[in-house]
Amino acid sequence: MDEKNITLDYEKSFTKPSIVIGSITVALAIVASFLPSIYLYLAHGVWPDTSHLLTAWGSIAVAFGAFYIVEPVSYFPVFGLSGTYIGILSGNISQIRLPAASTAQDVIGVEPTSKKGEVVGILAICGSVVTNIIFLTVAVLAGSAILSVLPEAVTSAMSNYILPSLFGACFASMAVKKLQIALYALPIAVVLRLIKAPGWLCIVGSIFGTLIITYLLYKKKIVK
Amino acid sequence: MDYLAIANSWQVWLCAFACVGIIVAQSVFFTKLCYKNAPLVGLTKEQCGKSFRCGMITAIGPSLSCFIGAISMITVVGGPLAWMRLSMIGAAATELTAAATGAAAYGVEMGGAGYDITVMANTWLTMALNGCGWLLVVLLLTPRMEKVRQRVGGGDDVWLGLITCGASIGLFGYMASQYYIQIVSVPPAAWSCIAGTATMLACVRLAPKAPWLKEYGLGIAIVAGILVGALVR
Repeated sequence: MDEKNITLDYEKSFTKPSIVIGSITVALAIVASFLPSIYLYLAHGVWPDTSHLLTAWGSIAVAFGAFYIVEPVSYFPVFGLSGTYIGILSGNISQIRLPAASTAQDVIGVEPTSKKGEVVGILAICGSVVTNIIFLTVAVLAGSAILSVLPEAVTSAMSNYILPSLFGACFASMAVKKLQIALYALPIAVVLRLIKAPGWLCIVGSIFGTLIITYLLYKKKIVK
Repeated sequence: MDYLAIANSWQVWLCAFACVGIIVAQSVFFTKLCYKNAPLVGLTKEQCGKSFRCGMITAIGPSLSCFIGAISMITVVGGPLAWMRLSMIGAAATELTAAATGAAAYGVEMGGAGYDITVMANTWLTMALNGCGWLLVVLLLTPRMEKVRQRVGGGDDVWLGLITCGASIGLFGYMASQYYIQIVSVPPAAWSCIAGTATMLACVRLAPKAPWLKEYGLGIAIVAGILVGALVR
């Protein structure tokens, strides 16, 4: 069989079914992610009122909206089509999925960009999903058990200070990637908070303010 | 009504199970598809098995960090929600940001005074809606991704990278700033945040010499932040 026929067959027997499997599972996941909220409404009649829900939705969409598009778009060349469906649905892309795919491609000895490489990468990603879910399940079950025997002082310290330390740490790990950006990003956020700007403006200002300044400095070749 | 009792009830576990089940099923279907196509691209069954196992083993190290994510989420949203949210898309940081935003819309803090079942319902929905942002984009755009890619970056990969980087720094600067500015009003939270930042900076600086710090840095920083917060109080 020559190369052209393989490409056609591959298109038909791998790429097309991939789109079908990917679309159906991702669509089902969208529906399933609302099940707990639907249960809360049906069994306990609890549903947040529209204005509060829209406020929260608006803020979070502003905060992560750019990522919704930029992440799948930037990982696509590495993951390919099927890999994008699995990689984005199961997450942990840079910590787990990419290392799994590239290690397997190294071990088998295939080029990442070849068709062989794509199949090997996807198998590895599927394997990593299995490990990840097993560990997570153990972590959640063990975590619940551990937390129930810890003294109140410890659990309250955890629930009070996990978020501050987490956000502090995340800021640090992002900031070191481009220290120059952090130099104006943090002051923007602090000033908006201190002048008690409305919540939506704080988020929009912090993110888009940072992006606009970054764009200007990039054009002037100060940030690269 | 005790919101955590409801959040940890078996019915909610069942809902979470449906979600996790779909993610596992997806991997099973794709694995079968790969095996079916292996002869076409010139791979043997053994090589397929080896690839799958290799992925399983590589994932062990980084998966250990999910213990930290799981424990930090269980205390505020309950076990089932932590399980289902962490099994997809976002890491703990993303999910907790969404949850905190849902609570903030009601003007309360996660698990703080005034955090009741209605606020919890809002945090659940905010996490779900946020996750669906990624899923919808993947659902609608993946089949025509190559074209989208050229349009978003304008063919400029450096700028595409800077968008992700700049947006992350702006976002986490925004999230962290709420604690930094409490240095006078709520000192323990502010110091906890500062300790988290400082520890993480140290971990990143030392990571070239001790690569394991890359994986565990976030966990270490969170433990340090909790300790400092508890001590200052």
